[in-house]
Amino acid sequence: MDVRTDKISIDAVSKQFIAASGHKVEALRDVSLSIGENEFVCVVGRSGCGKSTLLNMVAGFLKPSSGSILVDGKQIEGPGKGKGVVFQNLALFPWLTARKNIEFGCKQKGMSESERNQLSTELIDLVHLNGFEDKYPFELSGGMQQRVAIARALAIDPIILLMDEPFGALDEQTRMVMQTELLQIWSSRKKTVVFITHSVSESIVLADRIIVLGTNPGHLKREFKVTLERPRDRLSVDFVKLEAEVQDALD
Amino acid sequence: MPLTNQNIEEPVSESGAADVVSKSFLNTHQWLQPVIVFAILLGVWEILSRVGMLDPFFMPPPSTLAQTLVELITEGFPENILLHTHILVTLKRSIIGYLIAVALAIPIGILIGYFQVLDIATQPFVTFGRSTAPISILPLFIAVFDIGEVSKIALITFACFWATVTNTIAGVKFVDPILLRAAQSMDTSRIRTFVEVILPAATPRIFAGLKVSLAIAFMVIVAAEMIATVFGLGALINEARTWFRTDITMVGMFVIGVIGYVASIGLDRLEHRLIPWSQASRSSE
Amino acid sequence: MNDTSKSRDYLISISAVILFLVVWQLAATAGVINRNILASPFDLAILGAQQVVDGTIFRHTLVSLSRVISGFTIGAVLAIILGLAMGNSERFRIIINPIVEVLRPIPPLAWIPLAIIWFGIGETSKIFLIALTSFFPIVVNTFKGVTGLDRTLLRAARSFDVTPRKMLWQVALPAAMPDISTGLRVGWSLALAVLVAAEMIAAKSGLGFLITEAMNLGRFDMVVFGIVVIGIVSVATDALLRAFIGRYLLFWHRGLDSAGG
Repeated sequence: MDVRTDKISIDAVSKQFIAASGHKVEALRDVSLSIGENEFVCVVGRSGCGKSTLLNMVAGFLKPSSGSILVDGKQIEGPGKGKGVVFQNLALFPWLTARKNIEFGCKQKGMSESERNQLSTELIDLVHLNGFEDKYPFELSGGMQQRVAIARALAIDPIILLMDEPFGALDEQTRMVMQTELLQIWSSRKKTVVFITHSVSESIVLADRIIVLGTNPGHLKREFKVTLERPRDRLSVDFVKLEAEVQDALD
Repeated sequence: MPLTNQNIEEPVSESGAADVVSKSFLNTHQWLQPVIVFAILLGVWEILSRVGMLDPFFMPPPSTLAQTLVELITEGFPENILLHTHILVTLKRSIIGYLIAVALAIPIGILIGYFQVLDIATQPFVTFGRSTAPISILPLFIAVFDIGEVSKIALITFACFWATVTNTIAGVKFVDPILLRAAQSMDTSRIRTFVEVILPAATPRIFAGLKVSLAIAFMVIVAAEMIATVFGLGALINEARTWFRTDITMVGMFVIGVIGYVASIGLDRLEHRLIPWSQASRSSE
Repeated sequence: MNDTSKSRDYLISISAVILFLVVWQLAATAGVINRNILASPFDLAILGAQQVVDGTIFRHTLVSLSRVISGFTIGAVLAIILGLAMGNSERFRIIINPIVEVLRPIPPLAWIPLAIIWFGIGETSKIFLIALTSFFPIVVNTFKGVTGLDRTLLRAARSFDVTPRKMLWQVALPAAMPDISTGLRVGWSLALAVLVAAEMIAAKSGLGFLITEAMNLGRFDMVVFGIVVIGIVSVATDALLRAFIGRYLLFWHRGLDSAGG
C-alpha cells in the first residue's frame, strides 16, 4: 500500500488468555497491519478491544497465540532490542532523578558516563525539562513525568516507539501541550510511532494513520488516513468531519 | 510510627467557622497545646497526691519522680548501678542483637524473595517464626549459651530476624511489575535488573522492617532483663518493684520510652536521608 | 493463581517441612544436636500426644487464651471508642492525643512491674497489661482511619442530609474499618506475645508459665513443645481473626491481605 518499507508487520495475529476464572478469553482475532518507516500510527478503540494487548505483543512482553510480528524484518524474540516503550502509568524509577531515569537505558548499553551525560542533556533540552533534571519523579508534575518517560524511551535511540495511552492521566490542557511537543519531537527525530489512545481527537491531532479496533473479540475494524496539514486545527471543518467519521466507526 | 503533626493538620470535622479558627490557632501554636495539656495534667496529678487522693505508693507525684530521676543519675539503683550504666547495657545488648539480625535477615530475605521456590518452601517456617512469642525461646538460649550476655543478644537477634526477613521478602517479591517491564524494554540484563531495579525498589519495605524490628528489640530486651540480671533498664524497673519503689519503676519506664522514641525518630531521619523519594511518595499517596 | 499452581505450592511447602523434620530427627539420632536441650521431633510428638491425652496443654492454652480474649476485648473497645472520638471531636483530640503519644513509645512489656504494683500478681494485672498492649495499635489505626477519610465521601454523605450520629456509624466507622482491622490484627499478635512474657515473669498457669516451669525442671523438651504450641495458637487465632474481619467487618473491601501479613 505504500512505497515505504515496512518497519512493523503484523500478520494474522490472534491472542487468547486463560482468565483467572479458568475460562478462555479471546483478546484479539486475526489482526494484520503494516506500519511503514517513520509513520505515526494511532490505534483507537474502546476499553477491552485489545489495543494494549496488541502493543504489548509488539513490545515483546506477550507472545501472540498465532500469527507473526516482524520488526525491521525480524521476528520478535522478546522485549528490548530497540523497541522503546512509554508505559501507560509511566513506570519511571522512583529512586532515580529525571536525568538518571533518562540515562538508564544507555547505562545498560555500556555507554560511558560523559557520553551519557551529553545525551541526557540533549534530551532534557528536547523535552524542555531544563531546571528539573535533578528532581525525583514525585517532585514533578504529571506532564513533566511524561516528558521524562518520553526522553527515556528516546534515549536508547529506538527503532520503533510504542506508546500506551501515555497522556491518559493528564488534564486536557496539559494533554494538548504534550501532543504538540510530541509532534515536535517526532519531526525532529523521525521515528516509527505506534500510539494507543481512546481519544478520537487525540488520534487525529497526532496520526498519519488511524487504526480503529472493534471489540469482542478485538479485531481490526477500519483504517483512516489523515492527510490534514500539521499542526492540525481542531476546529477546522475537515478535522471535525474526520472526527465524526472515526467516532462513527468506533460506535 | 509516631503520629506526626502532619496527620493532625487535617481533622475530619468540617463543621464550620469555629473549626477554622481553632485550626489556624493549631497551625501557629502546634507545640503549645500539648505543652499546656501536660502542664495541667502534671499539676492535677501533683495536687491530688498532696491532698491525699492519690496514694503515693501506687502513683508517686511528679515532684517525687523528678527527685528519683536525679537519684538514679547520681546514686544509682540497685547496688548503686547508675542510670547511664543501665542505659548503656540495654543499648549495647539490643543494638548488637539488632545488627546481627539485620545482617542475617536482609541477605536471606533477598534470596528468598528473589527465588519463588525458596519463598514457597520457607513460608511455613517464616510464618511460624514470626508468630511465636520471641521471649518463649529464651529458656533454650539460656540452656545453650548460659545466662550471660550471649543468650540475651541471641534472643534479640531471634526476635528481630523475623520482622526484617518478612519485610525484605515482601520488598523483593512485590516489585511493581511495570518497572521490570520498563527495564526489559531497555535491554537490562538479569543481574543489572536485580541490582538496579529490584534492590532499590525493595528498600522502602526493608526500612519498614527495620523500624518494626527496632521496636521489637526494645520490647524484648526489657522483658529479658526482667528474667535474670540486675543490669539494664528491664532489671532496673523489675528490681525496683520488688523493693516497692514505684517511683523508680515509673522513671525507668519513662527512660525506656524516651530511648525508644529517639531511636524511632533516628531511623525516620535516616530513611529520609537515604531514600528521600520513598517517604515523600508515600505521604502523597 | 489457578488451582494446579496452588496445589503445587502446598506440595513444595509440605515437602520442605517434612525435609526439615527428617533432618532434625536424623541430627538428633546421630547425636549432632544435644537432645537434652533440643528434643527430636519424634520425642516431641510422643510428649505432645501425652499432653493432649491428659489435657494439661489444653488447660494452659485455655487459661492463656481467656486472658488474651478478655484483655483484648477491653483494649479494643476502648481504643475504637477513643479513636473515633479523637477523630470526631477536636477538643477531645487535643487532650487525648498527647497522652497517647507519650505513653505509646513505652514497650508493653515494660508495664509488667507497674501492673504488678497496681494490681498484684493475679488475673487483673495480666488483663490490664493485655488491654494496654492491644489498645495502642488499635487507637492509632482507628484515629488514622477516621482522619484519613475520603473527603468526597463525607461531602456525598452530607449532601444526603445524613445526621452526625448516622455519619459516625454509617460513614466514618465503615470507612475507617480497613485501618481498624489492621490495628486489631497487630494488637492481637502483640497481645499474645506479651501475655506469654508476662506469664513467664509472674504467673501460676498459662503457656508462658508452662515454659518457665519446664525450664526450672530442666525439661527442655517441654520448653520446645510449649514454643510450638504458642506458635500454633498464634497462627490459628490470627487466621480466625482474619476470617472474622473478612466476613463481618470488611466484606465490602477487596485487598484485605494488603492490610497485614
